[in-house]
Amino acid sequence: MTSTATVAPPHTPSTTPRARFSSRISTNRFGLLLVAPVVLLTVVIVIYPVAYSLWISLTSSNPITGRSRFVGLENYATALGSGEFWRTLTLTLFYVVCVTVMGTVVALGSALLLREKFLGRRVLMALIVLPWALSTYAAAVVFRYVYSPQFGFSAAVSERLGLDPSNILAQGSVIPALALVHAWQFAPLGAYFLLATLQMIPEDLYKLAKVDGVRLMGRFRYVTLPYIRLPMAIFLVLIGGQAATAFDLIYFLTSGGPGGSSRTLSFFIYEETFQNQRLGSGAAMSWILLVVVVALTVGYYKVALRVGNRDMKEET
Amino acid sequence: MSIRRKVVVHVAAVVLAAWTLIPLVWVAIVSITPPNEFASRPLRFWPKVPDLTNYPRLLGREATSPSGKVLEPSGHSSLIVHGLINSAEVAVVVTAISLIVCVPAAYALARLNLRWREAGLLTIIATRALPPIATTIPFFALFSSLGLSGTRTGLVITHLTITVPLLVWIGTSFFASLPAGLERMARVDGCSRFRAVTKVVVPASGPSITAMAVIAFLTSWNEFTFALIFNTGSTAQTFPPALASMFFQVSVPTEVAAATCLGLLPPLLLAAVFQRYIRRVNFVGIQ
Amino acid sequence: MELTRRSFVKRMSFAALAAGVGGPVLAACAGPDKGAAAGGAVLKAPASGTGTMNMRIWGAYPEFVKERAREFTDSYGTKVDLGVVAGDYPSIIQTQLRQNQKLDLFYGLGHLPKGWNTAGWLHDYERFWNKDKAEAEMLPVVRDALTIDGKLIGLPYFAFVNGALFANKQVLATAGLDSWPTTYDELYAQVRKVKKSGASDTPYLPSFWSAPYYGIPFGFVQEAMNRGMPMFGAGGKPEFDENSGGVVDMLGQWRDLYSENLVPKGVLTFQESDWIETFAAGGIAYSPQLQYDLRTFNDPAKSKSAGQFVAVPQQGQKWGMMHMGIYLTGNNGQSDEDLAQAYSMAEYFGYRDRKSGEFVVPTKWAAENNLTQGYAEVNNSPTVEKAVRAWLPDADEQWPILKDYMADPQYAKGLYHTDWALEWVSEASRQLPQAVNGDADIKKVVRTLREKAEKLIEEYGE
Repeated sequence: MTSTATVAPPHTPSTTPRARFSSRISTNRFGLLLVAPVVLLTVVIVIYPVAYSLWISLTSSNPITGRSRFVGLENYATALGSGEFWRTLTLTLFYVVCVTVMGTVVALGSALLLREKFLGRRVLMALIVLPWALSTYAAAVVFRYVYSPQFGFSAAVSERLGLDPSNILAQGSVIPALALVHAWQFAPLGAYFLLATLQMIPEDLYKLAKVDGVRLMGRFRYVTLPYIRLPMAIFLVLIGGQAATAFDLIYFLTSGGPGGSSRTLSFFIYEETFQNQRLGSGAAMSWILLVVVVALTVGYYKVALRVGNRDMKEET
Repeated sequence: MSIRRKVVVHVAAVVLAAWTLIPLVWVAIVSITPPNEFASRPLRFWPKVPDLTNYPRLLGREATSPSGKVLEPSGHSSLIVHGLINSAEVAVVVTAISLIVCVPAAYALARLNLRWREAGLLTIIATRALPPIATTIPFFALFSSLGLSGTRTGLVITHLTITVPLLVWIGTSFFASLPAGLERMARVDGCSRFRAVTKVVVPASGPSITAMAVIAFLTSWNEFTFALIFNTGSTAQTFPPALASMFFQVSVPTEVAAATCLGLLPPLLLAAVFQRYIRRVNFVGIQ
Repeated sequence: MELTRRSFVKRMSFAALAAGVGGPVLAACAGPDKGAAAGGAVLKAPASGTGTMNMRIWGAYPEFVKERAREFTDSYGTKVDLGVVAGDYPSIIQTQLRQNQKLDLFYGLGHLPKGWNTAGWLHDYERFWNKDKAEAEMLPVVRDALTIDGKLIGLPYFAFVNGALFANKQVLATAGLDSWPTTYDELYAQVRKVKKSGASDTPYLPSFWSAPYYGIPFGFVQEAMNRGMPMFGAGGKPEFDENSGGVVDMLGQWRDLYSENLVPKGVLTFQESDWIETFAAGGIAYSPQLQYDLRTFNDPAKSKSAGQFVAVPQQGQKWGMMHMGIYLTGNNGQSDEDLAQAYSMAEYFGYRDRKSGEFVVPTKWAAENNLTQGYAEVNNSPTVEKAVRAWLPDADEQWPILKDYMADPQYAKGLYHTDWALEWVSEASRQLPQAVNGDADIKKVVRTLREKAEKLIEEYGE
């Protein structure tokens, strides 16, 4: 892929000499020109379908009889009034927390490690991208071979240790087990995010802190953390949003089971929309999920930015 | 570095390598395990006689097993091969369109003092947080009236709903991290605004744009939900649903493992080539 | 590459156009806008093959089907676009039917066509030229299952017993057991004996699995029917409840099996393939399975105890119930000519080859894959018997047992012939595991399942 060939904004009129045209118009206009394709595309393939699903969420239809009627907010009321909905939402939040905590720990750990000098550092740096490069579905397949009590790697290890292979995808442990796969897959991205920033921290800061007698944890808190707060925020938003809408992993590894123990909201929506073909209530629940995710994302993002800016100010 | 620190760092490196690699290596081992050795008790970490036949069989060839038996091609070979080809085609088109659309927009959002920059960015972040499942319902209706179900074009459109917001967002942070005044210097040298972008900014963002391309490619290559719902069973089926179709009741686990490994190869090669670019990219530009 | 940027841009602009006039265009797809496939005169078998027929199947032996499709094209001229559907087959096909996609021939299971026919998505086979002859040759239970609202809905793809009880002789010999169980109570007592003897740690593999198709709801219905418990009456009216023992006690036994660790770990999150592979790996005494998989279990390439797997005879009580694959034809408003081409293909796959007059494809399925068919003539043919005896352990004893399974099987018609069977089965697949692993009170689960059926009857009956 040659990068030069791909950046020409398709909307630049060819009749006007480019040089003059792009310089003559105001910055705002020039910017708009560049943004226009994305806006157009977003309106057609994102905003319009989403608005349409808002309309669907106000209707109730039976897939077989085809009877469809406008029900107003009934689908929302039904969802919010059902215990199952709240159960799946709680599971979703639990899953998001597990994924972000595990993902952040691994990503930060990897980044801190990769900043150090050690044998094989370059090789390891290249290797850690592997999980991120495979599809969530493939990752799920991979972990089927790790988790299975019949033929899994975990079972093989337990046998060697003289233990009875345990069922990792059982009621009590299924959510953390799924979250682990998710974290395994997405931590590398975070590691790269964080590493790029960590490498910008001047070594002198650490030396100074050491001279001042600041201990390891203190150095992390006062030197490292202010720098990585922002990339960390970006990573958390990315992985958190991912986790909240996760589907492939659950679909393949547990189908929401055993007995609903891993039925997160997004899987519940899948069941309602596709298995039961209740588009109305599926759409209503999607909208609730959307609002929750967007609120959390935007809220978190704003907080992170404010904290980030404050730290920057404190520094200067 | 003190000796203690050195030891700790090396131990940590081994742990990280193990965490990353063990699941993948295990699947690779399963893929070369002869079916009759699979899941034998006690479980073995390495097959007695490694058997590579699954790979040629999945690619549609006959193969001779270690015991000298000639094995037929796998019944899923054409699905897997077509799936890989379709995935590659869709991913390339998605990557190209995403870059064409997103690079200028990200540049504008990052470096021009636009009026509703903040609002635009937040909208983009919001749409990025859309659960894919939420957009499938309207796409159903849309696609049936346009005849796009079961086509690569349809899949490209659905994939763009994910890649476009993501790339604009990531791209904005890339461009924002470039030194201020880059364009001004070029403008002073007599470049038009547009030329300043193509001649100065774009070359300076080579690694970032490469990283964006890789992210777009992998996102499309790995996408499962839309591919399953809209394209399974059609000639435009991509790799993930093709892999899923192997999980029927007569699946052969070692064969599935080999198919999984095959699907990993293209993105792994890509990732291996480009990981240094991704690493060089600065992600902290958004302010 | 079919997808050029130009064609993409073109389609994109259509999409933009549709966005403008979206409302009315899309409203047209909201529900079935065509009545049930209209009747008409019986069609004539087409003289020559025209066009391309879309065929959709699930992932069973795709290469086998491809080969047969090629033979059909060579012989009749009709081209076949064959696609293998992954994942939730019923939901995906239902989605495609709902989108009015061209599905000329596709697989269905017994509980699916009733609702799809009500929705007007199917063409029945009343206009198929050999309808009467084919019906006359079908096993009675198959004919009855395929007759929906008095019309023949499709042709049989396979027919066998789901939940046929298989035993691993090796494990039973180690445990010192020498008599077959005749009821579920005896079966579960034997299972506990096997565990006690140390011959197996997890001696029983029930169909508790749940993805991507469903095992547990079918396991539930068939065991209840085998035990003579009332399940679904006319119109799908639920005849079980949470107060009269029956299925509550049965689920209580299931929970015991689970909590006493008599069943393999993780069985509730098994996929169908795990269910089969785990039994084939050996070490399990009994398992209700798909009858045709006896071949898989005795195939040394797929099984570690090949030659040890046998079917348990039915002595009084039945094991399992009839399970049926069906060739169906979608209704997308096609012409009579296209419909005749679809029938022609269905005839080749699910009945006789018009040219030779023989059961070509059905016999191949039965002989090569032990996939028994909806026609006695196929199942009892010397070709099939010879092929089966070649791998069947204790063939002289087992062959009659397998025939007995097919002789007069039970069938969950009360449930299957409702418009809402798919929805109830999906719900049951979520509820039943909770009864098994103790997440929910058994009575509550049974009540939920009964109320679900009642609610669906009310909604669909409106």
